[in-house]
Amino acid sequence: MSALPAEPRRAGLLARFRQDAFWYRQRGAVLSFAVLAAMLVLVAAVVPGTFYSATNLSNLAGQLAPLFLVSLGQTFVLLGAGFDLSVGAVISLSSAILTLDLADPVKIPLAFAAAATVGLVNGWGCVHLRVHPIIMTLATSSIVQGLALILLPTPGGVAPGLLVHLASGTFMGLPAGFYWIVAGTAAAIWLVHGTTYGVGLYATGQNPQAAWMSGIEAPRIRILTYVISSLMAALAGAYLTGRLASGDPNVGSALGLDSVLGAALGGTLLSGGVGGPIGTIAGVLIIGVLNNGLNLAGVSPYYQFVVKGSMLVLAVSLFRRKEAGL
Amino acid sequence: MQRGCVKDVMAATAPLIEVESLSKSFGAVRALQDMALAGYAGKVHAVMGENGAGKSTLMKLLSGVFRPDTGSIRLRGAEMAFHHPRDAQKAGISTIFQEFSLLPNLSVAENLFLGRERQDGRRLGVAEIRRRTREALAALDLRIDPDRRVGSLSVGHQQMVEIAKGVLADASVFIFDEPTAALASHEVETLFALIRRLAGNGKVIFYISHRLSEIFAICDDITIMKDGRFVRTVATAETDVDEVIQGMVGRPIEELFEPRAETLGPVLLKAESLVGEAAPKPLSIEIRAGEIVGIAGLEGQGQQELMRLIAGFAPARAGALTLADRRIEGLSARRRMAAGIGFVPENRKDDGLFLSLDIGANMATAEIARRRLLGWVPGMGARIAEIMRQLAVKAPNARTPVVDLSGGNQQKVVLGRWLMAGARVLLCEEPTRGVDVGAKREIYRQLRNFAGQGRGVLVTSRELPELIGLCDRLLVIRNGELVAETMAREATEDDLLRSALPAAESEAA
Amino acid sequence: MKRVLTALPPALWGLAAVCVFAAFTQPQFLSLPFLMILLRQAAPLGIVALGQTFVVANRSLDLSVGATIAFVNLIVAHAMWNGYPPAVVIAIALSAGLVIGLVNGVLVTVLRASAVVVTLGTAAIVTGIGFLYSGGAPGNAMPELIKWLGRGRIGMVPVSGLVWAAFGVVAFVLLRRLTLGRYIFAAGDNPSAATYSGIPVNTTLLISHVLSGLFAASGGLLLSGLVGVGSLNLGADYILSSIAAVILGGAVFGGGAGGAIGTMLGTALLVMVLNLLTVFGVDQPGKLIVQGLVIAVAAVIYQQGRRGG
Repeated sequence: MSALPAEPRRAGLLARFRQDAFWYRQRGAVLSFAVLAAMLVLVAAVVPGTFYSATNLSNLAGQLAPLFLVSLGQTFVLLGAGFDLSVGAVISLSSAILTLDLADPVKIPLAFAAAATVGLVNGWGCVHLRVHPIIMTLATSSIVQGLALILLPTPGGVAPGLLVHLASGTFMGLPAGFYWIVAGTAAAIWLVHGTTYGVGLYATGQNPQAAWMSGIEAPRIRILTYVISSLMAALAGAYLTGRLASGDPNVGSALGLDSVLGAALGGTLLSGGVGGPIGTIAGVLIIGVLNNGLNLAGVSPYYQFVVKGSMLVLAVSLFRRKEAGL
Repeated sequence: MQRGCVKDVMAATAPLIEVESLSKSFGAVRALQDMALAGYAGKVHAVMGENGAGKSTLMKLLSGVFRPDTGSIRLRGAEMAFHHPRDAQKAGISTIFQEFSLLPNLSVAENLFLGRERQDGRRLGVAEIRRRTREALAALDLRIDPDRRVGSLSVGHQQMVEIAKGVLADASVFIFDEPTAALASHEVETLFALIRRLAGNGKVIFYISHRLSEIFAICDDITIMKDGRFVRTVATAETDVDEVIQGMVGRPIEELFEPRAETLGPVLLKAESLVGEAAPKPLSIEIRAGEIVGIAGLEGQGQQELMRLIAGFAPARAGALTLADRRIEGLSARRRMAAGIGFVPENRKDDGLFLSLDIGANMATAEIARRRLLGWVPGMGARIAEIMRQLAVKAPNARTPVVDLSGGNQQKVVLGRWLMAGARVLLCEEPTRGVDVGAKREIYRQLRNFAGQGRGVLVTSRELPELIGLCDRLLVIRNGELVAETMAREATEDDLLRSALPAAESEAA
Repeated sequence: MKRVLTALPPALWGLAAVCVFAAFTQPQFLSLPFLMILLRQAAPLGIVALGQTFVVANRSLDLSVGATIAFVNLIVAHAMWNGYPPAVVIAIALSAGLVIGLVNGVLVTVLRASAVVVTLGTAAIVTGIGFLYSGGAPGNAMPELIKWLGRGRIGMVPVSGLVWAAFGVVAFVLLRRLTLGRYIFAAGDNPSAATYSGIPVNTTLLISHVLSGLFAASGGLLLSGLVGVGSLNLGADYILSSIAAVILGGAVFGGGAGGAIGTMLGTALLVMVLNLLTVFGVDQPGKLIVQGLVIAVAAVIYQQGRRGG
């Protein structure tokens, strides 16, 4: 009885991205970080002083914190081969709840409980009732936005003091937003790369049936991605409410789609099972640096629409899928 | 080999796992009826039967993938109710599935520990996972990096990883569902050593295979199934190949097949040194009018690539392909189909059927596909009804959704699609996969009828008896090359297998 | 029996229920003049939704319809077309929709990018171009012909209603009478099986997207005529509403069901419900909630029906 020959393993960096499971799933992230680095060099050349000033970077962190949080949440849903269009509405809803005329210890948990409920409904509808994620979250998005507008018809209200405190100012020389970003990112990376949930998520996103046959609770894992996404959206809502010190029932409307952009630019595939929160860091930073750089360079905001749209199309075109369509 | 004395003593004890009057239906199809099975510690127990006899259903009930309609599964005397594959794993039943349950984008280590990590209530460290992965791989003589992505491994190695995954579990019952389909002979030897070791440690092993030689080499007992029912259980030592075959088939296998073609027409399809991206070795094939040609070979030797190259789904790089004197190698798949090539893909549900659409729409697609995009669709009801009658599709009418049909009737719908489109050469992958015996016979008859009308058929199949019975002429494919040709009436399974095995091994055998 | 019930578009039952409800509570709601007002209001959405039907049946989605409507509106309201014959303006507006659809289709089929993201991306690009084109200040120089199309009447019947009906006939013929429709439903249900049957899956999907762009631009023309002036954010809520109408009509991402008639019924149901809510004094937030619930319920009912089969 002879030992089998070892599976041939080609040397070289590129072969690693095909053969090593971790690097295969993170290959998009590597590309995103390369693009980000190139952009950072570019802004250094075009708007050197203004971009790399402490004020600007600090502002940038403050602006990007909510996008970071929702994009990380969206990353979970995408990894599980789902899609969450309702995060924008959830941000708005949490902003509306957080500025209700209620005691802080009541409304803060209430906002997160509401978000978790939306996530559960989304997950339950997509997984157990087998409604397509886009339809399901589009429907809940409409409902949740309606609720937000009923609770808070116009911007205003009083934000909880705790959130105002946590979302503004600086701590140890760094802006508050920075700490929200670090906390959210660390939590997401830990969940995906440091727990069994993460392995199950990659497995489920790729093939729920095979994952189930391997003893993975695929339905539960998928439902949880929607809950995580909603909770992250509520967190973004909390940050925005604290930062603005008041509520706004439409505050999340733009962030919903940007969250998909952040995750997709970071190399997370919409078909599930490939990518992750590490890439999303790069994806969100690319959006942030781009917007910020264009602003500093004095480009009309109208062009920014065009640039952003083109980036989105480019990002999803990088990885050809097997099938065309959704 | 050392099947023997120690275990015979143990046989007197109560069975470790026992199945009684187990039944399972899928819609109108009764996949399993009143099944009985008993596994004893330290025994290797073969479960045999033709395709569609219910073996896989039985094993999926044991492993918690399906839930039984009636009947009981008892493990050490306690009745089990599995709602989830995880329940079966926890109870100590580990299954090595026939279809890969591996996830290609996960690493070997991640696959091995998928769903198992929290068995003892805590999470295993990365180092521990790697160590145990190496150990499990070493037990199979495999030298693979635990971080390696499974999708980048060869099919044989993937199968070995699948086995390693099943063996890693701390189980008392192991189910091997056709584990050797993709293995080379030295890998089979390694696997057998492992199975003997497991049996020696007092485990129950259920071994499902078509290969009689393997069954007689490694199994202590044989349970025979037919048409979803229990036939009998015999000790391997007290039976022989003929008895087993007779039990499985219940009728001579020849009865399933139609007589072969007596006269053949001119060459209909001719491939000369055809080369494609995924089929780098030149392939030459001739199919005559009236002829059914079969491609035999081990799993994944280039059968799929060959079929897709001829059908036009993979562009030809060099060589010539002629359909009735017309050169077609430069045409797209769509054009080739319009010229008269039909393609029945192996995976019926994923690649063949439109599950939300009705029979009529499913049958009409290939015919419609030849039409102009803005052309008016004529009524085809009469033609569809005629073909349904001709193929004996069991359904009330053409508006019945195809999801409601049995596998055999679904396959007839796919065949009917090409009858309707008037295909002249049919490329048919695994014509009877997931089809019960009665429908098999019907499909063989239809393929023979099809050829009888002056058309040609090219078939691939995993089942050698099917190829021998169905075809006029057989080609053996090995490592992307057509290495042998024989008339089907002179072919034997042994000869075909010998040509199909890699060269070095067939010499050794 | 269950199959018969679920085979009909969910909108039919909804429409019947709404009519009965209205007959008892708000009889004037069902009067002919009021229905004609509803028809005029429903027509632009109806056409956009018909376009959306092609892509949804083809297992794709067009989220750029809102931006297309806004863009068409900015074109036809722009002062630079003063003096040109209205037919030229209309032709330019329709070509804009065709180009947007073509770009969507090419990106989705050639680059195999996700339709959701692609159409969101083109929507952002088109919105940006619209802003640049109008300089952020939409004009109000709209040809009278377009206004007539949007608000005019022939006798009692609104012109836009007739246009909607014409588009409905075209969509019906394309989907249920021509080869193209068979391709769309087959490719939508199982792209892989469609390829193996010889159906030109990519071309089909490309055409679906082009049709959606063209229909969206046509709906945008009617809506512009109805509004009568240029407006920066016209049509934003048509994205959700058009999808809702399609789902109410029974088409769900390549299920082989639904079609022109279903979508027209779906549009009618949606518009009636929303107007009924207005009559009862429910404002925008309440309508959003009802719209979301209606979509969810229709999708769930449809999915349960399929599972039974």
